[in-house]
Amino acid sequence: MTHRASCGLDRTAVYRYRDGDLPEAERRTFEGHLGGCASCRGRLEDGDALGRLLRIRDDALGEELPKDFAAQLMARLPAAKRPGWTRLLGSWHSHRLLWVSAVAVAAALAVLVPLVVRQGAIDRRSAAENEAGLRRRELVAPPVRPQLRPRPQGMFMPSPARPGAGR
Amino acid sequence: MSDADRELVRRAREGDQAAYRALVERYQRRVFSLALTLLKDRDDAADVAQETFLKAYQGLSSFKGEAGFYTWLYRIANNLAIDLIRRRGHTVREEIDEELLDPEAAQACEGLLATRLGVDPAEEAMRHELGETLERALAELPEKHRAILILREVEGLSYEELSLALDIPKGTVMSRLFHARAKMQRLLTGELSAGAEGAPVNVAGAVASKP
Ligand SMILES: [Zn+2]
Repeated sequence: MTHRASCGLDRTAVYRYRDGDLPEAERRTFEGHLGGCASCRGRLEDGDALGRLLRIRDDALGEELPKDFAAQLMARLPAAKRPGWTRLLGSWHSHRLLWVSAVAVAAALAVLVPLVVRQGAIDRRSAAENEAGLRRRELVAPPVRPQLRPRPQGMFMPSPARPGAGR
Repeated sequence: MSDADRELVRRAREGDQAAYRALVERYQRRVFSLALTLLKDRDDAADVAQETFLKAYQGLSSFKGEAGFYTWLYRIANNLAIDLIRRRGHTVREEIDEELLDPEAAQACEGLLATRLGVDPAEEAMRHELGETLERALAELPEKHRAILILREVEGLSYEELSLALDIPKGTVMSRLFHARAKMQRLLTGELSAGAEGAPVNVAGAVASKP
């Protein structure tokens, strides 16, 4: 697994030295070795030569970057500075609770307003009719309400167990 | 991460697009040249660089800052480039490092590249024949070797940063770098030797000797 150089040293040591990855003590030991080891010196010089080549190449590559690169990119970024209310809309996740509450209130109003209106009409009936009507409604109302909730699930949402069951 | 980057990231996270633009301008060339080295196509490289900065912007809030901002950018760019190569139906070369190297051949090369190159290669010469030689040699390397060479030699990432950018353990960083360099040096030395018999030759000499 470990590769030995001709001098017996782990061959990655030269590069770890060159790349500044050797701890201080090992670095000094390696520098001592370097003076008497042509093989490691050669490897080190090769590393330097290759590094120089790659850096010169990179300078030339950078010239090929499209001139309007940054402008193009900035045009693609999602807008950041917006008026308060659109920011509220945009930050849906952070205001999720607020929105869930608003939707719940709207739904409750949709259910309650017709009931209240209906109750107003009932109140205007005769006293005798009113008493009987109220009592009847109290008996009828409870079974109606729980039916309101299961409806969206049962009628509009396909049950997870039956996708494509009809075909 | 440098203090300047940290401050720019903080402002960009708060929606300051000018701050993000400063980060883009600081790193666009580097991200682009990594992508170009991997993809070998200027338009593909520009696309991947754009996607890299877009993705980084969208993920700013999840960027923890334990590594440099550029380390994070290189990681995104490297992954996007590899994805694109695969989407194009090309194979990303995954051969095991240990099988690549003939130890004796590598030993015979020690010091030869530096000798062949002799002096500092002049920029002008680089743009001509030596540049082509270098590209041919790079093209023979697997993508993972190209990436680690560029990130180490050009971008100067430490082993810890390379480990984060390439998502590999530090031990793999060492062996991968070793094999990438050994293979590159062998290829370059071979090309340069074929071009000019007799040593030492400098780059200008190697270029001049060709008809
Ligand atoms: Zn040695």
